[in-house]
Amino acid sequence: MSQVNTAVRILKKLLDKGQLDRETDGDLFLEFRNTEVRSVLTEFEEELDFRIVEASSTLYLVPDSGNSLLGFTSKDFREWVASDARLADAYLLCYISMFIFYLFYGSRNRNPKQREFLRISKLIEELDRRFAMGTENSDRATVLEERYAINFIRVAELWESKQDFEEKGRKTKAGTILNACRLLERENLLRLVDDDREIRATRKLDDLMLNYYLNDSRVGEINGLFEGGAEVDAQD
Amino acid sequence: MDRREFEFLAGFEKRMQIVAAVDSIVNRGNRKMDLERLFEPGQLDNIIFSVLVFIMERTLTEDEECTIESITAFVARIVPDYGLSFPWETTRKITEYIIKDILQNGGEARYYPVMRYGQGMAPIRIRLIDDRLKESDRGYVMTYQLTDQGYDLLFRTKEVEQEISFTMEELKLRELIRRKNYKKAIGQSGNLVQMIRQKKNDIRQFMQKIRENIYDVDIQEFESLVGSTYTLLEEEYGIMNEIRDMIVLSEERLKEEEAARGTLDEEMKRARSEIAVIRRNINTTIDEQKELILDRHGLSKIYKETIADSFSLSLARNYDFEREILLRLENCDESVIPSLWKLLNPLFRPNPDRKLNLSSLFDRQARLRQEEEAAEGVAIEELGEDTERVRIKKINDANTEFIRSILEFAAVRGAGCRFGELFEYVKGREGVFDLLIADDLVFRSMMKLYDLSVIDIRGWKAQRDEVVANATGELDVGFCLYRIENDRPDLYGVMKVEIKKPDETIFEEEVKFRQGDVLFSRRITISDFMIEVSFG
Repeated sequence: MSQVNTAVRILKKLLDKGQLDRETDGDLFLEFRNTEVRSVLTEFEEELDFRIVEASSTLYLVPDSGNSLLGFTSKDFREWVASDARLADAYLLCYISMFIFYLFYGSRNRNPKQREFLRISKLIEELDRRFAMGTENSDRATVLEERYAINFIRVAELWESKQDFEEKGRKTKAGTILNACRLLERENLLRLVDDDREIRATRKLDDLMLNYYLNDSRVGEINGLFEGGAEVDAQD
Repeated sequence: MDRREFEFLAGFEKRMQIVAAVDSIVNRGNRKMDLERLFEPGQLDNIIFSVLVFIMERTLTEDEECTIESITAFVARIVPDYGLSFPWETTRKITEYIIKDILQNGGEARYYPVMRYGQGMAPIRIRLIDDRLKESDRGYVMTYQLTDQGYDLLFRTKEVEQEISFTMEELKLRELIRRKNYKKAIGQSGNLVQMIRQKKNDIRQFMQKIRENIYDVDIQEFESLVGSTYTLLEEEYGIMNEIRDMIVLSEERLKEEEAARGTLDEEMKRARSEIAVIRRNINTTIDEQKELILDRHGLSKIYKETIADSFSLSLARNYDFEREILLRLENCDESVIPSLWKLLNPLFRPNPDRKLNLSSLFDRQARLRQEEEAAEGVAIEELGEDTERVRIKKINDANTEFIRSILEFAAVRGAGCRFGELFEYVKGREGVFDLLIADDLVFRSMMKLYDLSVIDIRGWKAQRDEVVANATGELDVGFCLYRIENDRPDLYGVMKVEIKKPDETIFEEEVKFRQGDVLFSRRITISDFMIEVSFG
């Protein structure tokens, strides 16, 4: 089989499952290290705007952040919240997702992973604290309110308007968190266990966080997103 | 400090590890006072240690899995010894508190500062139990086991013989068998099984640790585990085979005696059953040793590969997640909000199917429509409105009317029809046709129905539970039926609809529509599907 064929087989597997495991596809996994196969795949990466991240025993296809051909889109994201979701709901969903990642991988130690699991009740407490912190600085709140119609203060109010936990309905804090968790669970990033009272990171999330997502070299890309997101998104 | 003067402080950190482990229990964080108040001083500390011993026994001696349920049952059995009694629910809460909040520190890593003389203070991580998630028929099941630190703590508090080498244990066993003290030999052989299982656990936990996070792995830990344990194991493997030979010999002697005497007295019978137990234990030990010796190569390979792979990783630095992402999210410009999904994109699965699927072939004017909507969307969002929601509602309404048309037309005719006939019927429904023709919705929904092939209304009536408004605007037959049922509870008497393609007949239509002042026209070609219906 030619190197191109092998590269296409690897790509096909990655497009299909998002990952390729050494345990189940040992031959293809090893072929990935063949320099000629690797160079064909590099061309695919450049042309299709993705990268292959290699963790200890798995390869992952990671779409570039703006890749809506292979990846997610703004529309998918909002639709996950609800059919009548507003931008503020999508903002809250994104914030909760990022906050979960922060609680798991926010350590400044050599090992950024700082917890094995996270209880939903603890997450609610932490979010309450974080939103309260964000709103207690009245100067900052005024500036945000004056400059933007949709801002963190509004999202904090949206969070506060939700009923407290116990119930799992969509309009409760627990329900809102579970909705975010289910999206992450669907993407095989989290597991909801113990009757939806606890979340755990999957191996995929560990692999992607430790091998790619937290890497210092991504800061420029993140800056670009926060600074020039609007222009880029208009094309989506 | 002149270290030669204080040689007794060499390895001091080992002593402090025990202090750190005890501290994690006695000075536990995450205290829940409503549960702590249920106990007198010291009682809960005793119960926590008992739980650790239970986990050890359960996983080593019985080689069984330890779940929160089995630990709760254990706690329920021991609390009466403290003069306490709790309902089951409270016992369960206490157990969860012990396992999750105290022994696992609420999921957070717990550190204790320890002095390494010559190197200075350094935090060591304390983790006494570990959990494993397994998928079962009932969902995820969590099982618990001790970590190396957990074993270390427990063995140092009682099982001092652990300090004696494994070989000493074997020698004792050999001596006991030689002296025909089978009763004691059973206990001794049981110890060996327990110890080998502990080693097995050590190796498995270590492998898991390497796979999960190479940062948590210490090279010295690896070398001592691989270097010493396995050399010892290989030697022991030989010795255990010798012991097994001795057992076989003892059994043969008993057989000879039985043949000579014609019968065995009570003492001999007991010896025979005791020998059988010892043989079983020895065989288990040998099997597990063999398995471990084979595992060694696997472990070394995984370790070396992971180390090599992570070499470049260890050179890379991580950014400050709070500063680069969280704080920026909290202060982000409104115009950035529609692009926030990009933060998640690299973590999500690729989904080429959404863009590169069959239905996109029927979506001939989609790109034009998307561009127009994107421009319009920005303007409306500035007014605080949400065009997306309105658009999806419109599509949901149109799809509901399309399904209603199928049912209604079938009820009028009392039979099924071709798609072309249905199309003519829909044309006659004022207000509905325009909705359906926009964006070729009627053709795309028909394709989706052909894909589904059957609408089983009887089945839907029998098992539907919850109906959620369709969030994507894709045809959701259940949602449409639910809405039609509101004003037509009998759903026009139709029980089943089947969509077939019996032949290659084609339906062609020139579709005209107006956008602003411009009149568009295009020709649609689609298979003339057969829609068969059956009534109650």
